[in-house]
Amino acid sequence: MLGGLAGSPVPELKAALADTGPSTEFPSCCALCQVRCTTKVEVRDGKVVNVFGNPENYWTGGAMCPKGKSLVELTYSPHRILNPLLRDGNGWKRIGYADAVQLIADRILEVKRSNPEDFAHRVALFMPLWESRESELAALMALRIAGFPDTCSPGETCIASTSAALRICLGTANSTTNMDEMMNSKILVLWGLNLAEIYPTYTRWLLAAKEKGVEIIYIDPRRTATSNLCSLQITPRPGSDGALALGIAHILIKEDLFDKEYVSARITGFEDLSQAVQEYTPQKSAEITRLPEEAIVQLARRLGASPRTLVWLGGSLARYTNGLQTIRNIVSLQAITNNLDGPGKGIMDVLGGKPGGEEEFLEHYTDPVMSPRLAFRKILYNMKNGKVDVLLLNSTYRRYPDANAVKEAISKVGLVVCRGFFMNEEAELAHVIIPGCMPFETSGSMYGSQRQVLWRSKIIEKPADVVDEFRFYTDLGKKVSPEKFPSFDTPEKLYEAFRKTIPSWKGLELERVKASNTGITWPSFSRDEPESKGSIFKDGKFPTPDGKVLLNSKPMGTIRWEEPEGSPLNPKSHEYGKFPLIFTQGKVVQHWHHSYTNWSSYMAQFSEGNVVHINPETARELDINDGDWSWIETKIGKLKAKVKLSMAILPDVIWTPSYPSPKSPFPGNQGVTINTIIPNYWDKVSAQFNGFGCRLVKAS
Amino acid sequence: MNKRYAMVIDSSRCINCLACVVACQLTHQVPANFKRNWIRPGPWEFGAGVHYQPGNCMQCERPTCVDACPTGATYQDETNGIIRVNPKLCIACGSCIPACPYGARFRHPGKRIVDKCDFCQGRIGKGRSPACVETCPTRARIFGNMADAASEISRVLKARPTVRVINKKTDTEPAIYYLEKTSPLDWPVEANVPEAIRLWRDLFNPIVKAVVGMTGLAVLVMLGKQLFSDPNSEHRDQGHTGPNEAKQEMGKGPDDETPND
Ligand code: SF4
Repeated sequence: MLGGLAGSPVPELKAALADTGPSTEFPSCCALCQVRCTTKVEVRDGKVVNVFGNPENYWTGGAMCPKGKSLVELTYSPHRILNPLLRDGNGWKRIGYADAVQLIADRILEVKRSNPEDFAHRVALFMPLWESRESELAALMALRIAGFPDTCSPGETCIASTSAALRICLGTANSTTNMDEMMNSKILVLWGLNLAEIYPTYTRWLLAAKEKGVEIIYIDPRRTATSNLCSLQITPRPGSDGALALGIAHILIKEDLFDKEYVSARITGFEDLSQAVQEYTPQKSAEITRLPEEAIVQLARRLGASPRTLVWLGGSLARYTNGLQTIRNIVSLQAITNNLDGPGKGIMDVLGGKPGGEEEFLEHYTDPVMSPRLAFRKILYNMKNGKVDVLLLNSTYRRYPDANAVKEAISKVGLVVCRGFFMNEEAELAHVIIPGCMPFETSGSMYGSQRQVLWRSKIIEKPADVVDEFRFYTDLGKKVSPEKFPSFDTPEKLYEAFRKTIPSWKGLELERVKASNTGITWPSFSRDEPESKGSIFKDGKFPTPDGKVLLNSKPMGTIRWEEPEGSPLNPKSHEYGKFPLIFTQGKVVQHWHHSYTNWSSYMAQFSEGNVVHINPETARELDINDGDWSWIETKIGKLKAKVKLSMAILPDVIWTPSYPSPKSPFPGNQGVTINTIIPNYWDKVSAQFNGFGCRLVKAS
Repeated sequence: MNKRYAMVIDSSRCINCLACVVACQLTHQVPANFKRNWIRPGPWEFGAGVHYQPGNCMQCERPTCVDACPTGATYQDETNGIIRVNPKLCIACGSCIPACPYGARFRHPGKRIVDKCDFCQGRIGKGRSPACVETCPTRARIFGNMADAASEISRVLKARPTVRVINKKTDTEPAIYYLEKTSPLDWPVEANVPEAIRLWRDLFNPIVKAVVGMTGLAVLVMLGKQLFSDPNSEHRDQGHTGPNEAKQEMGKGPDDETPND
């Protein structure tokens, strides 16, 4: 009925792998995370049978992580949806692709006809992910050209606060340099960045840097595999990193360990900073962070003495309501010690930032008004109030806090179109499902965390009735805006049009990008100029209004640190007294997000469903033992998780893995979506996923 | 000169990313939850946290699994030292499973053999490295020919102290060497080679081989099944050894009979 293949995954996998005859290798790149490992894909009789890293890749050296490899299994998963489907009562019936697109287009046109004055917010899109830049552009064009601006990207729950703070302070939302600059540093700070788990294929750089004598300082409340690669770990309690930064700045300024010349020439707002840090004495920051005073003082002196420090920010810093402030406080440290531009210096964020030009390109085809940045909360509000008629659900709604409320809002939408691969939670809400292509089945450009642009070529034929994002949104765009929708028939044509339009892409010629083993770094104004690696600040100026680092931007308010919303340590919070433990969560190496990887048996074999890690001391106080089942309770809900005692977790803190799913076919990956119990706290920009209060109650 | 393939593992570089395990499973058509190689987390050590120890078949110089094999299916390739399984001779009786101190043998659910790591014989024949070596982000595994003094592995073995992981009662002379500190050192179990098999094998092995030669696999499988199939062997398969212990830590009991999810 669902169009998938019947039976257990094992026989199917064998069918894909059984033959051991001759095979051919094709170059490709992994679509799952921003490392963008380039790969060699082994194909036998038209089927992908294996994938290895490309040994010529400068960043990865030919490594891969298990997620990327799971795509081989997922491509042939018996759980994959292989036909467009239309809801039929409580079940599904097959529908032809052309009919499905027509149905969606008709509904969208109907929305415009019956609401001639205010149709703009009645159609919304949760952005596509993972396929290619061209499909993202096609989706944005399809909606915007037809007059619908409400498209939300995952950034709002991911690293939007980091990007925003960097943009305000430094004038760029991108990392300010490349990863290999760590080889020129004296100190590398991994601030909240568990590299071994997030980007395992980069870890060889840490080892190389360490061998070269670079001191690697890891700031993370949890002990992880990354700890083993670093020289020193500092474990502030979750949510207190911004206070730690201010405490360090206090000592740097008090002990004259900053660069006065640089400060007066390159920084705006230093006085506000020195004012703000006065109260962050070692004693106060030690109280907040629960670190020994001495550890903070020593860390500050080390940073003060380092001639070249590079800071690499983890994603979790932005996933607190104090994220914007935290990032600004860390930028301040780098600024006053003259560590923002030059070899071995800079500040990197985990995703690296997106190569520019997208908005500029789109404005050739759409109205400039059509570029809202943060749309999710607006769409949610409209859905709740029954004001959205069509939702193109192209990526998961479960990434948002209080996911059940989002689900409820979506269920009020008249037509929900799901673009997915498996019968997941999104499919459950849909009226129409149009299954998508796996990465081996499509072509398009991608970008990685080192600002590199890559091309992924199609390697195998897709199943007959699944459709790639590019084609779906192009078809839809042509139907809803027949006069205005531009005719780029292939991702290649769109890529080249983009490149020719945007000056910073001029040098990224398609053939050049296709031929490269690593990808080519954006920006590239001409193919003859050397690749633009290293610090992006080349001319002694920052791209801010006055060319200086801006530390006291008005909209960000005073320089400060605040308890995260809902923190059990904030007497004003609802959680205070009732939910005494600090909630934290994290990715595990075998899962990148809510979708793909939950459908892989190879990933499930390493997963344990909902588990909760706590310190033995906390367990003793709660009279809970290793292996017990317990309820994690928050202000909005609870879920059952198996307790694992771990010295890697600080007392009074819980840690739980981010991505179990109730719909996964494999027990290891099955579990309650943890965002269903995460209260809906936001800063100005992004949502919070850690740091609020919870409690643990033994389950009977 | 004959080759002697071996592996040096630098546990201190391992980040437990598990890419080596999936790379191996994909390369050798091993379904999830069955493993030719593994990563074992060590105990929590104060100030040092948890370290990880990658492993796989130790390609022993004195292989107890070869001793336990009644049909001669498991043998040491004299040209390179690798312990291999001849799928035509293997009757999947499972005698080799408890005979291996490292838990490196398992019944392949789709192939009717007791599988094991063969250092990616096919890949190394084409001049490539084993899948786990090639895919490792930190180069924690170094593979090569110990008999060649110029090889990287020989140089590393000469330059740096190594340990081997050995059960006190059964030293099988493994060909996997660990750099730096490797703990726990005492996880391998005592090899359990049933006396009956040892005896039977010594007495009849030549005949069994001849039977295969003359009348084919069917006879052998029938014969083997009648003589050796142990109704409890499934339990032992997933019991107390290397990769399966890791599996136990993943929250599954040793008696889990549906390892395929
Ligand atoms: S590290 Fe990222 S890009 Fe590389 S294989 Fe894993 S998921 Fe794919």
